[in-house]
Amino acid sequence: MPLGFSFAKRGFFAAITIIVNWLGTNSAQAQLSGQNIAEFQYGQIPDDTTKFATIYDRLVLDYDINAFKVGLTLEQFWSPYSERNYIEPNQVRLQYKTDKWDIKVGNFYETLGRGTLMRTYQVPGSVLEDLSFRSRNYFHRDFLGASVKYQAEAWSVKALAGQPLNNVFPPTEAYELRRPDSVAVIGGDYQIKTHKLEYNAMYLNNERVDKWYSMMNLSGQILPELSYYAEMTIDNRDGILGKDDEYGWYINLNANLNRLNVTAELKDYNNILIGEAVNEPPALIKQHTYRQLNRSTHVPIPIDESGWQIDAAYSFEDGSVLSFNHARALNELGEVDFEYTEYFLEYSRLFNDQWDVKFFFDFAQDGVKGEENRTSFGVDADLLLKNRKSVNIEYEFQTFERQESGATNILLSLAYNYGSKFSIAALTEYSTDNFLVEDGNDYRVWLGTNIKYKPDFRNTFLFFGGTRRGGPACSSGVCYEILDFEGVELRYTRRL
Amino acid sequence: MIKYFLSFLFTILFGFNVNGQTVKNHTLQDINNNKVNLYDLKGEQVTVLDFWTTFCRPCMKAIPELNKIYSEYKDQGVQIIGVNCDGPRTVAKVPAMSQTLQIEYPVLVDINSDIFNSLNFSNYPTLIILDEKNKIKYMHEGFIPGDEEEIVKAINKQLSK
Repeated sequence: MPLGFSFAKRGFFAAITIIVNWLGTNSAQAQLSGQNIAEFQYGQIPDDTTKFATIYDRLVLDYDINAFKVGLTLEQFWSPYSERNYIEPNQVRLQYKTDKWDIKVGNFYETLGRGTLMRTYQVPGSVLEDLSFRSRNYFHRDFLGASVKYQAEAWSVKALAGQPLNNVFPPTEAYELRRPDSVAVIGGDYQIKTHKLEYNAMYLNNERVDKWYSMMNLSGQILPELSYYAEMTIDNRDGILGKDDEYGWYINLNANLNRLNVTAELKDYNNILIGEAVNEPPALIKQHTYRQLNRSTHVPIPIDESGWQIDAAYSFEDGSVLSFNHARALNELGEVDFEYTEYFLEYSRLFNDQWDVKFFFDFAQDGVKGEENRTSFGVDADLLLKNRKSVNIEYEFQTFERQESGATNILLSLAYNYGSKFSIAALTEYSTDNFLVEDGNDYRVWLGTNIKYKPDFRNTFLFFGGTRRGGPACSSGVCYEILDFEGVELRYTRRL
Repeated sequence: MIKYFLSFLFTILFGFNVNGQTVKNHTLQDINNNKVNLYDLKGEQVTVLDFWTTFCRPCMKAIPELNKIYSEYKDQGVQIIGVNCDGPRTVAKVPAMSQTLQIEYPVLVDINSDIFNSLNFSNYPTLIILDEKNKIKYMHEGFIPGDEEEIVKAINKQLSK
């Protein structure tokens, strides 16, 4: 295999192994912690002509000494193609944390307000593979730099400077490409009873622009049953009040009316895409847990998007819950307007102390994807057996029209669980979507098996075998693309 | 490469035997927008932290069971704290969801997932049990009906020490 494993990298790898061993054998005196995810794949994704094996590994190590914490994340990927392979210490971090002070140097995560100005994140446990680069890396967008925060009882101040990661590019790509933006932020918040005011000013510099932004948010409780949150980010290039066509604002109201709870959100984003990967305004579109609906989630376009979302839930005396969601998003992009509307209804109930069942119905018009009259419904049922055993059944049906042709998606999953220690599931999907069906066929079918074995809290084994349907996926509030896969995959997660 | 990788994995497997991370203090907002110190909420003997999100199905199944455990153990020096880790996309739903689920124990909102990330967790829900010195004594990832029995056993074990 042409792996390009240089002498220097071997030396580095050996050094890490020795350090890990030393720390491990001396662990009784120290707060050493971490996690290792190792994932082996043998198979192929679209555009591959043959099946081949790959190994991805991510080791996170943290060492705590009183108020100090030092950490390292080592990532590696190996395949038969040397240009895709790497072994890199992708994160290093040093933190000093007390009740008052929080000082960070290196790689860390930071979200300001609801993310209209700045948002970094990680999607826990997710490994990303992009069709263009074909290298695998952990799905995160961190910040490399330094941050100082002082926390008093009613107020806090913070300053940070550094470069956020543009995670479109894997570790095999150049640093300048992966971290093209430099930002410096100064801000703080002040709390009066249950009301909080936060202000942040940010300086952004990259190859194309040199700009100032500011963000202010106000949150609190008006009544015990009514709370609010409002946030606005503006481009200060043309003065403190900004420019009329570059802003993003977001409002959220929560009302609790006995058994009825309502959340309403409003948004208006206009040219508020900051840098290459600095901010990510809230989507205001429901992130569904049902697999087909999750795949259909609308991704906001911060160049121009306005709209709202209403989410309501009513809990009945028998413990059952009725949930409703309505979202609308309008994108005015040049001469064409795209509209997204969605209505979602769900009812969940425990029958006979044995069947825990959820039914859902969803109707959407998705202008961006060109999917009209998208109608989905389904059921997710847990049959609770004795001795911590249970069976889970999921069925989802979806149909829509696109460019005068219809498409149907069907999903069926059957799983057997023994507590959280062991589960085995078979998942099959069927689609007549002409974007997915190969020439000469009327439909396409995916069939896969997932097995999970967790002998104790330190060790988890996940096995997948078969064909897995790709497409958009949303997790932890972040949407990304999963590639189709055919083959076997084994993931071993070890907590240290 | 395989040789080096296996050596690396072997080290990870057998090189470690770490017992008990400590959870540091954090200042977070609760669902009523009050600023709260995590340590101010902890239990006299045992503290249970449940890391959950509104978009996690097993979390929704775990919370009613945690409510029952809270009712039974709150007078025995046990405190349960829900640490919500919803990001900006879904955090608006946390107060409403907490009301819908009728959560009786305190819920803190950790929009940046600071505590979750600092402990290198990767699944929702993750439940940990801390002793009076904030040291992790038990950890449970995921939730399938029946897991509550294991959690109760772990609380009892910690209380009997």
